[in-house]
Amino acid sequence: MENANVLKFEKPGFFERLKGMLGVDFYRLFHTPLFYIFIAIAAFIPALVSMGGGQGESAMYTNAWQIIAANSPLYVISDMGEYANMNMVFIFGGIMVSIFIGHDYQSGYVKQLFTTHAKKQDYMISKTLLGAFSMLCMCVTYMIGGIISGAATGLSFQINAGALLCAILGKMIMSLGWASLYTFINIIFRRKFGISIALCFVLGTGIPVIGAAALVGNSAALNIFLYGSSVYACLSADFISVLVCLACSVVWTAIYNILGTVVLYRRDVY
Amino acid sequence: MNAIEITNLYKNFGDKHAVDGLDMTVPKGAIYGFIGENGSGKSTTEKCICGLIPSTSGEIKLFGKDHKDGEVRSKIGVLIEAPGCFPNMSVWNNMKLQAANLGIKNENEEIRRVLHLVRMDGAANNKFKNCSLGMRQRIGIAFALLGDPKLLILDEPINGLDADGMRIMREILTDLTQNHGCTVLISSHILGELEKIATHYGIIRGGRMLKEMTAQELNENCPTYVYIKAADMNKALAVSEKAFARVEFDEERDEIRIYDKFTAEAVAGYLYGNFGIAVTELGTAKISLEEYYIDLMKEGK
Repeated sequence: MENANVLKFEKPGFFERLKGMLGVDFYRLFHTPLFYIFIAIAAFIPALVSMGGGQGESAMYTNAWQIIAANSPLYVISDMGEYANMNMVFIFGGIMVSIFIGHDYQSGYVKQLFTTHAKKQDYMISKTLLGAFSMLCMCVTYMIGGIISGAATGLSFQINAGALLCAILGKMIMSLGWASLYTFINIIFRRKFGISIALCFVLGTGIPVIGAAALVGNSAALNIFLYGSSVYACLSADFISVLVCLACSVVWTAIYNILGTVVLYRRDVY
Repeated sequence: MNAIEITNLYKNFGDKHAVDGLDMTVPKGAIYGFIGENGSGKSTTEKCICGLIPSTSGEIKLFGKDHKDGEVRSKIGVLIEAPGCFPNMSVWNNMKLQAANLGIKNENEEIRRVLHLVRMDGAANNKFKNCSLGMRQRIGIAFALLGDPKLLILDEPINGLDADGMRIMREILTDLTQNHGCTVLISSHILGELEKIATHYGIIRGGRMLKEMTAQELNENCPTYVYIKAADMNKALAVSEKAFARVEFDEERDEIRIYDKFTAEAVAGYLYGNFGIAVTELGTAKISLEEYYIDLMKEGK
């Protein structure tokens, strides 16, 4: 038997722990059909929306890039064309993150994970990054789907390239904030899978912010919310818009990660 | 230094004390049999040790360090209830994921080693969902053994195992403690199996430690006795009660148990020679852990 005094343990560092956990999460992501189904849906949705949007003056879109982002940041929905754009990716992302984390708990993987040296904050970070990556991929396929369907329906492609770039960049940056929100929701309702999905769906559609906009009007103050900033990343966006998206996304990511970590530490893993 | 030291541990679920001021000491290198009725707090205690549920109060130290310490957690192997595996993945891939989480460098070699240890080499490519209950338990043990742990916490690991599986489990646990400096905390309701390997015991009831003892102390508390069955049981019992140090009648088995220094043959000879009582069945036996445990529970009630 080993002498108690010579028993030594290794202390894995933060990056070593995170590397292991991210490796596992990404391996699972790339080996689950769910991921490919969602990025395919993200590619297919623009075609459905643009083709079902009518013709001529009644058309939902007059420019192909409106499939990606609205012309201006309108929080109050006046027409579907302003609403139905790349922000829909965040709804799919919410459902995907819910299924992914739900599977973690259902299979007992989380239980197995937290009996090792894994820390609760590592789990939050890993799932946030994974969710953000998934939504980024969906943004890319949505964009490809949007361009193809725009071309197929004969829409104009005239645009200010800088504004378009800022809009796309802004929306992609928002993926991080949305992923942290969805991870947090799934930690809270880990035993109630249905509630997690429903809540992610409701928040992803932006209903609370749209409701608030109905009361306070089209206020820039709504940009402090994830949905608000996501709408702010529009075809009239500039570098400031990107910074607003970055600040909003990073701040909410930090808040949700801290809250999620506290919940994980205080509550039972089961 | 002890492998596990728990002081005044409480875990409340609402108003209910699932663990109620528990003290527990598991010496390093021990196979510690953790025994208790359903709902006595065994699993809750184990989950607290593993960090799966936070304790309400109290102190848990593993190898002298706080149980949440990352250093010490990296060397703990756990099987609580069922192994946490993705059902649609193969056993091998599930193990690769766990190895990645543990930061094991030579993971293929390590997975082969632990699967071989639990005699599950052939099941590596099976999907986990297609594995039988017994196979799943063995795979769960293999999971726990990944990364050469210094402390194994096993909750009902022999449930669902066949006779061969139980034998393998005994061999593995004995080898780990004797040759690899590992300590094992094992809870089980199959006390007969536990008795074959445990070096220490802890008996818990109502969230409190009722008794902690070594296997040697248990041995001393579980004396050898002579059991007899006679044609006239009433007379045999009456005579034995006067003649021997301690006599009990086991209603369940309909036999007289004599706790004394005499051999079975000497007892039979005495009863027949002096009182003409014909003994129809006799033998020597020892109080088992199960009987000791049941008696202890009855005393407590």
